[in-house]
Amino acid sequence: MKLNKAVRVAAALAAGAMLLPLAACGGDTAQNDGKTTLTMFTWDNDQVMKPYIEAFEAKYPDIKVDQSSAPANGDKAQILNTRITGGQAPDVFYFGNAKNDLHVAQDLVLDITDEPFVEKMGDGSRAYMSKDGRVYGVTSTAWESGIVYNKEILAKVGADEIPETWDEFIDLCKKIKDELGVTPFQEHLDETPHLVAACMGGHYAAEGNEEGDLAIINGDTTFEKEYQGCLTQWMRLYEEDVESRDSVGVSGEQALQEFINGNAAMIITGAWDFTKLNESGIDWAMDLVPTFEGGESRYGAGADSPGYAIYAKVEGKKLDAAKKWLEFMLSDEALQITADAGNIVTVKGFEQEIDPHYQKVYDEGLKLGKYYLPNQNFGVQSDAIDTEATSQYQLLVQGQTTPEQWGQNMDAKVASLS
Amino acid sequence: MTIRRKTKAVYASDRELERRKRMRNLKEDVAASWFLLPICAVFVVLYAVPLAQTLYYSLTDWDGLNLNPGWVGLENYAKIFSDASILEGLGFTIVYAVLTTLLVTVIAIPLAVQLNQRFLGRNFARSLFFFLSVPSLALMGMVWKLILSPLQSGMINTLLVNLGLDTVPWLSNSRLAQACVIFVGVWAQIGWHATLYLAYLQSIPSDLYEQARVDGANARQQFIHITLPQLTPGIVVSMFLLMSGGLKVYDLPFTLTGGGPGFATNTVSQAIIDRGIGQQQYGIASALSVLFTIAMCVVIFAQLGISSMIQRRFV
Repeated sequence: MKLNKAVRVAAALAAGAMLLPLAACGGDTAQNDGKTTLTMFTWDNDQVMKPYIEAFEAKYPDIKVDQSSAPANGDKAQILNTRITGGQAPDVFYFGNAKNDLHVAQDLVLDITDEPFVEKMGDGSRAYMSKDGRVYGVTSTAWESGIVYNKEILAKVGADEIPETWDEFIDLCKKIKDELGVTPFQEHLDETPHLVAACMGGHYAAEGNEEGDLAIINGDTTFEKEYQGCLTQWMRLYEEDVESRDSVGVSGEQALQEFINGNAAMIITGAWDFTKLNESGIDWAMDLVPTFEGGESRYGAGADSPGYAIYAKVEGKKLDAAKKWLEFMLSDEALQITADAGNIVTVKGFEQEIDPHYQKVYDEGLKLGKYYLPNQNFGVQSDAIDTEATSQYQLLVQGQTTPEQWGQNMDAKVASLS
Repeated sequence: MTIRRKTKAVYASDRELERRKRMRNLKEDVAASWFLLPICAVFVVLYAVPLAQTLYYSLTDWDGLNLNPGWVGLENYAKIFSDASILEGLGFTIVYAVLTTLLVTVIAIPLAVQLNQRFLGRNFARSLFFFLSVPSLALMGMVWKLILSPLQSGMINTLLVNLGLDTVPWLSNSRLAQACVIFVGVWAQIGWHATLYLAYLQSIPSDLYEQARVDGANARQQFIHITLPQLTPGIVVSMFLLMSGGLKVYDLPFTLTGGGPGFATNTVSQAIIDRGIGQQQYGIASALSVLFTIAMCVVIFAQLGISSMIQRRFV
C-alpha cells in the first residue's frame, strides 16, 4: 500500500512535469504601473522595432508597448490567426494589402477611414490600405525595383543607360552577348519575374484598369486574355537566346552575386541590395524598366509596404493607445527613423535624401505611382495564386508550356479556389 | 472420507493462493499503469485530439480564422485528386522515399563492412562518414544549392568548364533537379546508416566466420550467408527509418529547389505546409494530412510485415 502511494506520487509528479510546459502556452498581458499596455504583432524583428517603440513610449509615458514578431516570409499569418482565434489577438498588427486580407473580409480590422491621420498617407498607400472605399490601416513606405547595370560593360557596347523600349533592350542584350560574351541580363524566377510585373502594370494603366489582376479574380476577365502580350514579349529573352533558361534554378541572391562577380551586365533589383552593390566595387547605376509594347511608359515592379492595423474588438484606453501608435508611425519623428533605415517614405509632405543611384527610379517611377505587383491584386487567395504563378513561370521558361497555356493553367487554378 | 476432505482443503488452499497471486499481480499492474498516465495524457493531448481535429477540419472549408467553418463533406478529398501540383508532389515523394531507402541500404552495408575492417585511419574514416549526417538536411540543401547552381559560376559547373566540358542545368531541369534532391538525400544519410550497420556488424560472433573459413567459404560467400542474414534486424530498423523519413521529407527539397522547377520536386509534406500555413487552406491541408497518415500507416505496417517475414526466414 505504501508502495502504491509512492508510485502514485511519483506518477503524479511525472505527469505534472510533462504537462507543465503546456501551461506555459497561456499568457497574460497585464497592465503594469498603471500604464496601458499596447500589444503589437509585427513582421519586423525587435531590433528594427526598438527605436520606434522607444520614441513612442517617450512621447506617451502612460503607454507601454508589448511587441512580438514573426519573420515576413515565415508562418506570420498562421501565428496571427492562432492568436486571434485563441482570444490572444494583438491590439495592433502588421497588415498588408486590404483587398487581399482575410481579416478585413471577416470584419476583424477596425475601419479607420474617419481618423484625421489617414489623410497624411500618399494616394497609392491609401488605396493599398483600402477596400471598397474604406481605410483599414496605415503605411508609410513603398518600393520599386529597377534595372541595375554595370556601367563599364554597357560603355563597351556604346550604351550609357537602359534603352526606353523593350525592342531596344533586347538589341542591347544581344550586342553585349555577341560582342563581349558576358551574360547580358540575369533574372531570378523564384517569384513573379519583375519584368512581367512591370509590363502588366503598364498594360493595365494603358487599359485604364484600376483593379489590375483583381478584375481576373472577380471573373471580369481572364489570365489567358490579359497576360498574353506581356508573356510573349518577356519570353523573347529566352526564345532569342538572350538569357539562359537556367534562370529557373536561380535565386535573387545568386543573380546579385552574378552581377557582383562581373558575370552579368544587368539584373533587376531594388534598394534592399544597395549596401552589397556599393560594397562590391563595381561602377553601377540603376534605371527604369523599358516600356513594353502596348503599355504605358516606364512602369516598374513594386508595391506599397505593409503597415499597421487595429484589431476590431479593441476598445477603451487600448483603442486610444492603438490609434496613437498609427498616428505616431506617420509622424515626422517615426518617418525619419524609417528613412534612416533605408526605406522610401511615401507620406505626403515628408522629404528625404535618396541614394543617388535610386534618384531616377524614385522621381520617374515611385513618386508617380508607376509601379505594380500582380500578387497585390490576387484577392484573399493571393498566396495560393502567387505560388501557382511562380511554378507556372518556371514551366514556361523551361519550354514545357506556352504563354497561352500559362494563362489557361492560371485560370484553372482560380476556378479551383472558388 | 478424511482423506477426501483433506484433499479438498488442499485444493481450496491452492485456489486461494492462486487468487491471491492474481490479486497481487493485478495490484502491481494497476500501480505500474500509473506510470503510463503521463505519456497517455501527452499522447491524447498532442496526438489523438489534433488527429481528430484534423479529420474534422478535412471535412470543412476552414481558413484558420473563422471559428464556424462551413461543412463541405468530401469536397477537399476530391480536390486533392484533381490537383496536378499535389499529385506530382505525391509521385515525387514516393520516388524519393523508395530510391533513397534502396540506395542508402545498398551503399551503407558495404561501407559498414569496409569500415569494420582493420586499416590505417579507420576511426577517422568512420568519423568522416558519420559527420555527413550531423548537419540538418535544410543546411545541406542550402550548401548544395551553391554547388549545383545551374549557372556557370556554380561549383560543379566551374569545374566542368575548366575541364573543357559544357555546363549542366542541375537545378533548372526538372529530371536533373529530382535526381539532385535524391542524390543529396542519399549522400547525407549514408554515414549515419553505415554507423548503424557497423554496430550490428560488431555484434556478429566471430566464430561464425572462423567456422565458415574452415569450411572453405570465400569472402563473398561469408558476406551473403553470414553477414547479410545476421544484419537483418539492422536492415529492418534502417529501412524503417529511411522509408518513414523519406515519406515525410520536406527540408531538403524546400531549401535545395523550393519544390521546383514547376512542381517537379514538390513533396507531400511541402504541399501540406504550403496549403495550410502558407495559403490558409486548412481544409485541403487537413484532408491531405489524413490521407497521408493513412498511407504512411499502410506503408509502414506492410514494411514491418515483410520485414518480420524476412527475419523469421533468416534469424
